[in-house]
Parts: sequence; structure tokens; C-alpha cells
Amino acid sequence: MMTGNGDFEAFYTATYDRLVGQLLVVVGGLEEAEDVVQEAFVRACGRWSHVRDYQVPEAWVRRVALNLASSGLRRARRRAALLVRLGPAVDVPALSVDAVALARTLRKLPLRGREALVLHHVVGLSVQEIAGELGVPVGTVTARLSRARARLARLLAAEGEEIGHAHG
Amino acid sequence: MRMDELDERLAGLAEEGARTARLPAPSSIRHRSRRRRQRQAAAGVVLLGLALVGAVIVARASSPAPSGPVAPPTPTTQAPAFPGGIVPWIPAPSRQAAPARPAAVPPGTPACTADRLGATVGWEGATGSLVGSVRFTSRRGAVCALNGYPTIQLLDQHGRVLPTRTGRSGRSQVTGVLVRPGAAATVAFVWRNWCGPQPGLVGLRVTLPGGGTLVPTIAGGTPRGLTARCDAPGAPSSLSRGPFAAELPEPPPSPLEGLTATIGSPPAAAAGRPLRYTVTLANPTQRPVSLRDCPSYMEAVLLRNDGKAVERHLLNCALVRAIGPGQRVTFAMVLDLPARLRPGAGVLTWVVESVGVGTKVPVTVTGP
Repeated sequence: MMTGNGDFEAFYTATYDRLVGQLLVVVGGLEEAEDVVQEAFVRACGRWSHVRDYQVPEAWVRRVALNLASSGLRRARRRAALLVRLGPAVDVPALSVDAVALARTLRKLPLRGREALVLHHVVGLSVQEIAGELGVPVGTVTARLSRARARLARLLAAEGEEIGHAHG
Repeated sequence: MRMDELDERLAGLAEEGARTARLPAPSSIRHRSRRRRQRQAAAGVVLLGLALVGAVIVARASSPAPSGPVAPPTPTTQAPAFPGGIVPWIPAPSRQAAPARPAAVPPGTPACTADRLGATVGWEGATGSLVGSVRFTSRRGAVCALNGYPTIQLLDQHGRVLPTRTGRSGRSQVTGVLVRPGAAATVAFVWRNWCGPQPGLVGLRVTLPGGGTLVPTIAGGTPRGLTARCDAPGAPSSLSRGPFAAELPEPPPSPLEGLTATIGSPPAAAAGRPLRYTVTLANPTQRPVSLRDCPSYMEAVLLRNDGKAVERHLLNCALVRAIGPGQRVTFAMVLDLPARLRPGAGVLTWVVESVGVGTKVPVTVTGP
């Protein structure tokens, strides 16, 4: 039922995993991605009567999570998350070695570049849509994307060489 | 790097992250949101920027942590009388509150069939996807069980089925859900990648595992003409749905949420010895807060060098039945610091986990 708590719950359940995956690309760590996405959902919940009427509520939550990722809150939340992680033992799934390596490489890029990468290559937004979502000129998005791609390519190529040498 | 390769690698990472993400219960998100609003209202505190957000909020009744040995708090006129004004510490084991659980399905409960249920559906757009849920309610006092997954089909304005590839989602263990008057069930669904002609009014048809088909009523406010975005022409449209889930009632707010906590602790403590400190719980609200349902708390020293000491105990409520409006009560606390802790700086954290009321102060652990 799309009223009251039920629709928030359905929205949250349906979009949480996807948003964590997208923010993982930006922040480079699963726990940090979960922190900012959870915090964004907390805020969405508090404004749900308004957010639910947005054309794309998921975009609102992602925007908030991206803002949190680029602010000091990420550090504050990381500390706060310690409390959560000290809770009852849970099975903590692990990312694969390849995923961790790629996430680590991505962290070497400027955050704005990672943001553009995820919106374009993962979410699938056009450059114009990204510009609208981020509130920046199209040219800025293009430049961020271009620089991020080039740097990522260099980093991955360098790592590939290192791996090659290590195995060679 | 080729663009399609970049797409693939980044999307692969995001998908793996999505698979690995641990979904906290929706109630925990609602709880955090509600508690934040209550705190803002009760304490009159605007969250001053992002740094104040988190598990810990310094509230109106807080006082600075002492810089030396723990001193007894300033007594208030309403504070209960204890030796030294401090409720003694007791090593009582913590109690974990049982999570809200839906009613079990009694043996012999018949499977729900379409004639026993009413159904409504609503959806909304979500970055190209269409996300919705179907809510099933009892008709004419029926008591029955829904098990597993329904079959869901999307219909165009003429009632024709839209071709989609169906799938299942949902991480939780699939259990039977009891439907009776006052207890509803829901199924969430996500529709992605529609590249066909605009279908006009989109409706839904649900076939139950127990038999029968329902066409749910579309809830008001649902964007009826909305379709999933065409992301990949040539790829099939997909419709995934979760299992039946019980619609849990909202847990009642805990009066403990109105409390604020402050720590009085020496700035340094030695590894291998108990850290003795105090926690003052203050009630800035206009109503008394009962401790009849005595809360458990977690106390922890978390060092930047990854050392930590964590304990959980029950608050000593035997001597304090309630904290009156404007009243504060100070409790003695003890946390054993293992000798293996490496010296370093960190925080001392104290929190009532069930409601998130807590605080933390800097602490330095020295050698034994």
C-alpha cells in the first residue's frame, strides 16, 4: 500500500541495495557506503510526505547520500558506525578481492570524479541529466568525467603492470 | 580503457556492493528518523551542521566532562538521595529486547485464496525503475496464510499482459504470513527496462500460490501512466517481486528516547584496570520517564589503534524507578580495560542501544 509507512518501507527495501552499490563506487568502502545511504534514508523518512511526491525519490536519496559522502559527515558517521558494528554479531559478507581492489583504486580519484562516474556509468544518466542532478554546468560534468576516466585508466593500467611484474 | 569495459567494471562493482549490502530493518531507519525529530523538538536543538549527526547528540542537559578525577554531580532538588549522589554500579547482565515479530501461522491455517482477500497496489518511479507494493487484507473476517511468492503481471489500459521477464528478490528467509482482520501482508515489486509502446494505464494482476487471481485496486496518488525507463533496448523488461511479508505495526515510541546522557570520566585510564566513571541521565521533557522497563546499555572504549573494550549491562534501576521532569540522575559505571590494550587515544562511549540515547567523550589509555 503506497501510503504511510508501507510505501516508505517498500521504497527503502527496493532501493537500498542498489544505492549502497552505487555509493560504494563513490566512497570506496562498503561500510561507508552503508553509512551514508542509511543516513540519507533516515532523512528521507523524516520528510517522506514530501519526498514521496518527488518524481524520482530515489534520486533525492542518492543526492543526499552523495552530499554526505563529500562532507565531513562521512567521517562522523564512520565513527558512529563503530557503535553499530559493536552490536550483536552478524554475518558480515565480504566483497571479492577484485571488487576491493577496484574500490581502492577508485578512491585515488577526486570525489567529484567518482560521483560523475557512478552517475554516468552505473546509474546511466546522460551528461545533461547529471548536470541537472548535481546543479553544475554540463561542461563541468564533461570535464570531471573525462578526467576521471583518463586517470582511472592510467591507474588500472599501472596496477595491471604491477600485477604482471609480480606474477612474472 | 574502452567505454563498455568501464561500464562493465563500475557496474560490476556496484552490483557486488548491492549484493553485499546488509539491509537494516526499515523500522530502524524510521526509529532513527523519529528519534531525531523528537530530540529536535524536546531539546530545541537545531542540528548544527553535519558533525552533530550520528549516534550521539549532546543535548540541553549536558555538562562538560571533568578534566580530572570523577566528581559527584551537583545535586538537584529533585534528585533521589544516594550515597554521594550517585547510583551504585551493579554488574547485571544486559537484556536484549526481542525484535517485533509477526504472528506465527497456526498449524492448519488454510492458504489464502483470492476470494478471502482484498488487495490494493501503489507504485512510484525510482530513477528509471518503477517500485511498488501490493497490500493484502482479510475479507469478511477471513483468517488464512500466504506463503512464498505470488505471480505478478503488469497490464496495459486494455487489460493485456505486458511481456516481462519475472524474477524473485528478497534476502530474508521466506516464511508464511498470517492474514486476518487487522493483520495485512505485502509484496514489493520492481519493474525495470520497458522499451515497448506506452501502455497507458498500467495495472496489475496477482495470482496467489493458494489459488485465484486478484486485480488490486490502485491506490490514490499512484502515477498510473508511469512506466519503467528504457535502459537497454533489445533486453527484456524485468519484473521482480519479493516474497509475502507481514506488515508489522509501528513499534510504540519509547519514553526513554526523551532522555539525554552525559559522561563524567577522567581523561586517562590505565590498561589492565577498571575504568570508573559516571553517566548522568537527564530528563529535559515535561513528563516523567519510567525506568520500570529497565534498559540495557553498552559501554565501550574504542581506540584509534583499533583496541577496544566493550561491555553490556543492565542499568541499576532497582533504586531509580523514574526520572522526573527536569531531573537528572547519575549512575556509577565500571568498564574493565584489558591489559592487552595498547596505549593510545580514543573515545569512551556509552549508549542505550534500544533507543540510541548515549554519548561519548575522549579518553586516553595508558600502559598498565
